[in-house]
Amino acid sequence: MAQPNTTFLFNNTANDGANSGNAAGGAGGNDSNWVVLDLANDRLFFLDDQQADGDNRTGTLYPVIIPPSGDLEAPKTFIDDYSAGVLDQVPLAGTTAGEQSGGNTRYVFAIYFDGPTAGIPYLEAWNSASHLAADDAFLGGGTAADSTLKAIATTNAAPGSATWAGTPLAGTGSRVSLDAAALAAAKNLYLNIKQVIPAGFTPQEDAAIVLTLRYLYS
Amino acid sequence: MPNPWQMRITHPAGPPYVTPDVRLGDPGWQDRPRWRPIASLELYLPAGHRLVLSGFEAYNFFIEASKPLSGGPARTEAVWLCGRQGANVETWRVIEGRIVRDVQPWGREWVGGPTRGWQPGAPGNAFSGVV
Repeated sequence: MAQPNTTFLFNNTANDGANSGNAAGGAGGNDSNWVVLDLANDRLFFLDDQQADGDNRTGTLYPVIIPPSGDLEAPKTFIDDYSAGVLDQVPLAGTTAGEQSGGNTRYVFAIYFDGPTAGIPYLEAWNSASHLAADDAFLGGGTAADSTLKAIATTNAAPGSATWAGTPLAGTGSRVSLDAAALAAAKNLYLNIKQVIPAGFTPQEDAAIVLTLRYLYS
Repeated sequence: MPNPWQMRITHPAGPPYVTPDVRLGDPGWQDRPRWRPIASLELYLPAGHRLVLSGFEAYNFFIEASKPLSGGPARTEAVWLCGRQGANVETWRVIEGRIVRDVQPWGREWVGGPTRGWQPGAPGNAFSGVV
């Protein structure tokens, strides 16, 4: 069981279909289209509804506006596609509380493993790639339950609700198991993710926050 | 004698099997002759010590790795050696500069969940420790 290679992909259509292209992505089930993330250059953005699919990546960015009361799910989700030079929308990300086509959708983000694992893979969020701390304000400021990033595994089924709550992401204390068991063979794991900003959140920007995949091999 | 980060796997009879450096791409756990039960695992550590598990009913070994979506290669977070005795699993986790021992229920040995890759041991007087 050598170390498996992993590929991160996203579906840039509003069509909820599986990634049949595995590590290569491309056209998937039900007219979905899977794009391979360039981990060194691409970034995940949660933005306001003024942002449009295909906007130039170096143009104006419209951040999420902190709500006067209650919570606000980031209206739109994009991948800052470095090589294409555009913001590529992820229409199925999030729930119906956003302003895209998210909800009880299953095939939004994928992580393709090209071999087995010795344990269940997990998705985590950290302050930085050093994985030393997970107390950034966006990750709850030390209270994992307050993390603004919330994810749900959809590997084996859709969330079951168009307004799924998800698991707050903050370090190893609050993370998402991406499957029900260790992988016995190559497989696509699926997830959805959203950002929820509460009223009273202090305006800020932090580009160092990182999502991390943790897994076992032998 | 094996080099640091190699693991020697001994059997009740026959020659031992020595893995490559377990931190590399394929640590070799699946490559050993599987028809022979394991008598002991010995992970050679950089400071000249060995982490030894012997006499358990079953053994597992795996690497905990992480891959940040910000790029770069996967990183080794920890090396794990496990020995099962009855309903419990003794886990030894080698992290950078630290070795952590723990006991967890069988099937809940890593983050509260099961692991794959268990191989039968040659039960005896179970022992584990750094020597």
